[in-house]
Amino acid sequence: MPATRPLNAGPRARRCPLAAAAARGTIAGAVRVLFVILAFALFLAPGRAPAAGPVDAPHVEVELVADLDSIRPGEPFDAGIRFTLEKDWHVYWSNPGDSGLAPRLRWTVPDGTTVGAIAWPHPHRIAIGPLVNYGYEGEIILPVRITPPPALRPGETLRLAARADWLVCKEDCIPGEAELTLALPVSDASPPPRSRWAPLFDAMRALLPRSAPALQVAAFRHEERLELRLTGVDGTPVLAGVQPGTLSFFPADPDHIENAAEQPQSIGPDGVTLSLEKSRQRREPVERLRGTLVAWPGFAPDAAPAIAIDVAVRDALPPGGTAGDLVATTAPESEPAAAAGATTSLGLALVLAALGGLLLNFMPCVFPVLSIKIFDFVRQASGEPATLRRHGYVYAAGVLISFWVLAGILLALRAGGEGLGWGFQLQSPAFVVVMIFLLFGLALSLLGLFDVGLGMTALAGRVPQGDGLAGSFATGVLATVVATPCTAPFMGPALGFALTLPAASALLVFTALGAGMALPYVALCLVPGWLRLLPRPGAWLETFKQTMAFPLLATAVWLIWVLGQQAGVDAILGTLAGLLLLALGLWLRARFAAYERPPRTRSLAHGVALVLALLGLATGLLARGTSGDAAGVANAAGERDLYGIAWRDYSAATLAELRAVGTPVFVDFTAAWCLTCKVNEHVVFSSAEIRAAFAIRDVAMLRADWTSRDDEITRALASFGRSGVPLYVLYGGAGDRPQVLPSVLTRGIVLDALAKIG
Amino acid sequence: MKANHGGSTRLMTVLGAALAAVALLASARTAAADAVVGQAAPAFTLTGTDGKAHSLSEFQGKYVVLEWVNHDCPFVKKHYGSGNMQKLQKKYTAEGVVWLSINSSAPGKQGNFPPAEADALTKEKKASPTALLLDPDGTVGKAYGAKTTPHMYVIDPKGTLVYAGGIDDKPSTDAADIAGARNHVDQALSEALAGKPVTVASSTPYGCSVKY
Repeated sequence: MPATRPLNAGPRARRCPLAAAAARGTIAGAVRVLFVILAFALFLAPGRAPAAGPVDAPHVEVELVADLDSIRPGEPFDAGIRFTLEKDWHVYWSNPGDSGLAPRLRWTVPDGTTVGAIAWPHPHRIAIGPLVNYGYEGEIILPVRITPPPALRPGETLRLAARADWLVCKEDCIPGEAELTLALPVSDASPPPRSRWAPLFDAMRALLPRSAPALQVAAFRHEERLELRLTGVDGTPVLAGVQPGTLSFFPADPDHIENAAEQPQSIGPDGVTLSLEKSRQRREPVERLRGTLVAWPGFAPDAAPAIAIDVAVRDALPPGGTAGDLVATTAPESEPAAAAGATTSLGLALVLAALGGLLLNFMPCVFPVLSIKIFDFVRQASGEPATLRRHGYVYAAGVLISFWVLAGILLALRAGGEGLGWGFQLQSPAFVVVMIFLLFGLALSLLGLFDVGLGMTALAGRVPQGDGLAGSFATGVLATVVATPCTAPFMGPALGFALTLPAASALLVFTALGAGMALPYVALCLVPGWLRLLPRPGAWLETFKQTMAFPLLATAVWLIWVLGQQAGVDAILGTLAGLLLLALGLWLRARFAAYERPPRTRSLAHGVALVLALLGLATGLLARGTSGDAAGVANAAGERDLYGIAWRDYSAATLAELRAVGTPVFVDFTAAWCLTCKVNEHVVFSSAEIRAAFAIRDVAMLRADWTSRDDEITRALASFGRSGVPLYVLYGGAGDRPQVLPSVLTRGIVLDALAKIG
Repeated sequence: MKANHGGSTRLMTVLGAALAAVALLASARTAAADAVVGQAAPAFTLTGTDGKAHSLSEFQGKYVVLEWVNHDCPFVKKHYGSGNMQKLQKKYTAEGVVWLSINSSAPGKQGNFPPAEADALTKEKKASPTALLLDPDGTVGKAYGAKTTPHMYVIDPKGTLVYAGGIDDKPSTDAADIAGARNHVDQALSEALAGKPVTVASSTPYGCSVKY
């Protein structure tokens, strides 16, 4: 900080040696002092986070703080600047209002670290005589998302520095500036320990504007006023939880409305209208209203205290028109919600679900199980038709009940407020590990390593002696369970729609899906004549059965890759080691539990096999625990994917920022376990023509990775009427409605969509 | 219970509507004529630190600059401490432009000085306005909608407002920002004097609040 700055009152740093060094003007000096402090801190109190400490400036204390006491390599976290203000003094929001100046941060961070923009919590109106400012009083943090380099190692330190300047005012104003630093130790603690500032970070995050999918916002132009109108989507009560008179709009643009003017609000049965006075010094019409709408205590459905507004302003309603004709929606991403609901009817969804269920039988997860089952059936084709029919029904019941249980769990969790969508089970690494073991075990069974006892084979194909109805039921359950990794990617959109319906209709869609899946088997049972159309059983059947192990193994390979995306390379190692133990156990059992062995050897072999299998599964599950969640590392911001595209991580804030400056944005909602997504991405992005078409238009590429649970992405999906991936959204220039592309992409579709944005 | 609930909702609605009506009336009243670019600049007469009365009308036929000033405001210090404001004053008063600095700080508030002290400050800053006018009750400031110090206005020889807004496009208190900034007043005056339309006729002013 040059000493010659012509400011009357810069902040004086007197509290700690680090800040003093910063004030003397050398970052190097500050860093050296920091080092000493760090060494001391590490020596005296191992594990305590060293902090650069607060800086005392006139009327305000300023400090760089982080949400965490230690960070993990490559994992984004929130840092920010803390202002603790003297009573009656304030600092400003991004738009300061009639006077004042927003605080500014200029960061110096190590290579490979990315720093986001300030996420502005909603401000308060601060009246100064006849003027109104937008700002903050008391103690606040302005949060900034930091992504540290993935190459950091535990034991290292991430050093952040920011030059902050701000204006602090009561009625008179004093500018301040300071060089602030923050050193954060890197560790592999999971979850990372939160800092003493975590509660304040949480409080600030609660004040960030959110998107409001349940609300529609329209804006209309009158002579000297602008009218902001909120209506509920599908009868959602707009004002549930909002006290009349507490609405307050904070404009993002400084010259659109009169800051000091009252914002009269009228409340009717179908919504609320907020009247804003157009800036008297603005001659041009206001084309777009952008900003933050605040209400007390909060907006439905989740009591958000603030929502983001970005809406085109239209001419005032013609007489006789209805608001519905002209309604545009709030946060830009929520626009197509109504349209999605309107175009997919329940009947269509039922047909699609049944067809999808039918197709599931040919997926690599299900086909082996089902085909083996069918050929076992062929062997018994001589059986009583009545018995056959009963097997068909019981199998169908197994499938349907399994689907109902899955859907029931999902609906119940969603009703409980969990941000889950179809495919949620694959977001759990533990579930993925169990699926891998199940598929691997089934494959070994098909290869002939074991085929007696314990049920696996009974489940997979061999109907036990006698009636064997339990076996048929179990086959239905097993087919559904092994089908889940395949349903999620292929059925995502249809099931996503189902989840937007009332529970009864949603269950109907799931029923159609199960019925479709059970149909071929049931048909074979009901019309035994059809069995004769199948090839005769023979030696080839054994070959066929063994061949079917490989689609299962392929599915397991794919799930191992998914697991790696979710939980990192350690989890892969643990799972593979666990599979090795399982294979060893099963081999021992096959080798030493054969009928010709003495009974003691046989029971010992059984026991050892069981122990090894359980040990293997435990190894797989526990390795996940030590590695923790490493999602996002593979797609770290700024890195290029295999097609050479530099994706940025999706967040509503990033999207809003890009949209604010009119940058076209493509959002790819995807997940590692979503095969459709991977196929789409390959079809589209392997084409140089498409990559060029994106590049020419300077389209910002955002990737919303739903591989692991992410409530923000779930909310964004919901705003488009979806509850699963894939989803592709293309935003054009400022004010354009986003285009939602189909779930199955072709190059032509993408090029056409791009052509529309110019 | 149910009827009661419905009743309270209706009561709320009525109350809300009443509130809205009151607020509408109130805002209609405060929507007084601000100075608007392209329209006639509001007329005024103010006493200068020279003790004389100055009216806008007496400068008809000349370009007039209005500059809201408060020498204790860091944003004003930025432009006086760097010599930026004085340079503009010299450049355009030399071309016959009338430069009126107006101080709307109320008595007892920041930047309010008796005429002699105000003159001493002008001298100390080497400023050269045509006159420094005192507006302690804020009438003229409010008539123009002056919000910040500095807040700048340019009026053409016919009395029409041709520019209103900030001095430049770099809102900060940092004098180092002046070099890279686009000075709206300089540009408006040079375009207007050359007989061209003003390209940027309004901008968002930045600075301290006027101490009404």
